[in-house]
Amino acid sequence: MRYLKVLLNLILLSLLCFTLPKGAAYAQQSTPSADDVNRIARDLFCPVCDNVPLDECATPVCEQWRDLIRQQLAEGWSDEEIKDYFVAQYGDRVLGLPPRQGLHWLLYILPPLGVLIGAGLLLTKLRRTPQQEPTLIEEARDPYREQVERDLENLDG
Amino acid sequence: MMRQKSVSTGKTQIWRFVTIIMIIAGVVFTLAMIGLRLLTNDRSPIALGDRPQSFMLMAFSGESIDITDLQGKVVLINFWASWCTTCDDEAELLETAWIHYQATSPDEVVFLGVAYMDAEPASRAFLSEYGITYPNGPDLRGEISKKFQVTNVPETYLLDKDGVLHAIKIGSFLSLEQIYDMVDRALAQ
Repeated sequence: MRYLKVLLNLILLSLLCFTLPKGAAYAQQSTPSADDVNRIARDLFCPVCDNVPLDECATPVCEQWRDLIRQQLAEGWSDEEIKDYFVAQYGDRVLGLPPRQGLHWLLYILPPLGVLIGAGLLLTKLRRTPQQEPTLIEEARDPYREQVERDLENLDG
Repeated sequence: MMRQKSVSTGKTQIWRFVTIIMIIAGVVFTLAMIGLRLLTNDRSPIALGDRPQSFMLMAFSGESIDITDLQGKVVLINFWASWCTTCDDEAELLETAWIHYQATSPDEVVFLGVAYMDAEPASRAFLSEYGITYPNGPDLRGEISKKFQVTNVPETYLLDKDGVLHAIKIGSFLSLEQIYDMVDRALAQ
């Protein structure tokens, strides 16, 4: 009975160990770190430069956007909520990858589809092509080879 | 044996035909979609005399302003951002001009401010700092700036009473006279 109590206490303790520090860490994280901000910023792009990710951009607008991300993280927004907000505010152009909706689906579907069709055509072509490996019988029937062999025999004789 | 071979050849030919048709259909579909996209996403530059596409401005105050409702008035549309250093210079000028036209021709002139790629808290702080009272709102999804082909800020577009683009100002206004001159010319038309 005593062992059972000890075992139950150990289980409870281990459960607390798994849950408490995580909660405590969130509670302490009132000001998100630069890494937290960059985790989201690297998936967004500078709106006024060409192809510069938000986490690498030094323009005032990018600084402002990173501040906004920091503020939203501090308020408890999830990564997806923040990205959705930026898309709603500034359009798809802020995303590193086109959203999977509407015509953008073509960008995701067509390349693998092309590869599949190409592979299928190649496979069909290879299957249809007859394999023409020289056999021993064919080699033996080669008239030139036979002539050479005969001449060699005559020389030996 | 011969019959089997001819059936097999027939099947192969059908498959080949179906594959070719599918590839052609795929290519035609893709080209059609790209063409449609290009047509709907016209990026040709806007010029004087053009009639810009209509848009809605959801102002920070909560009101929604439909540009088509402003026909019959001269409309000044100013694209700005709080991170833009030269926008500071003209903010006060625009507000002064707005107050002037509110007093002189209240039913004939409308000013609209569009915050371009700006974070909303920063936009609100900017408007508060410069005491801007004319309607301002965010450029949601970049739709308004796309219609005017805005590439940088500040940029100002002036529509005449018929909704036709009357004047464009790239860069900031340096004096009140520049604003009065632009608006008065449109009013005099």
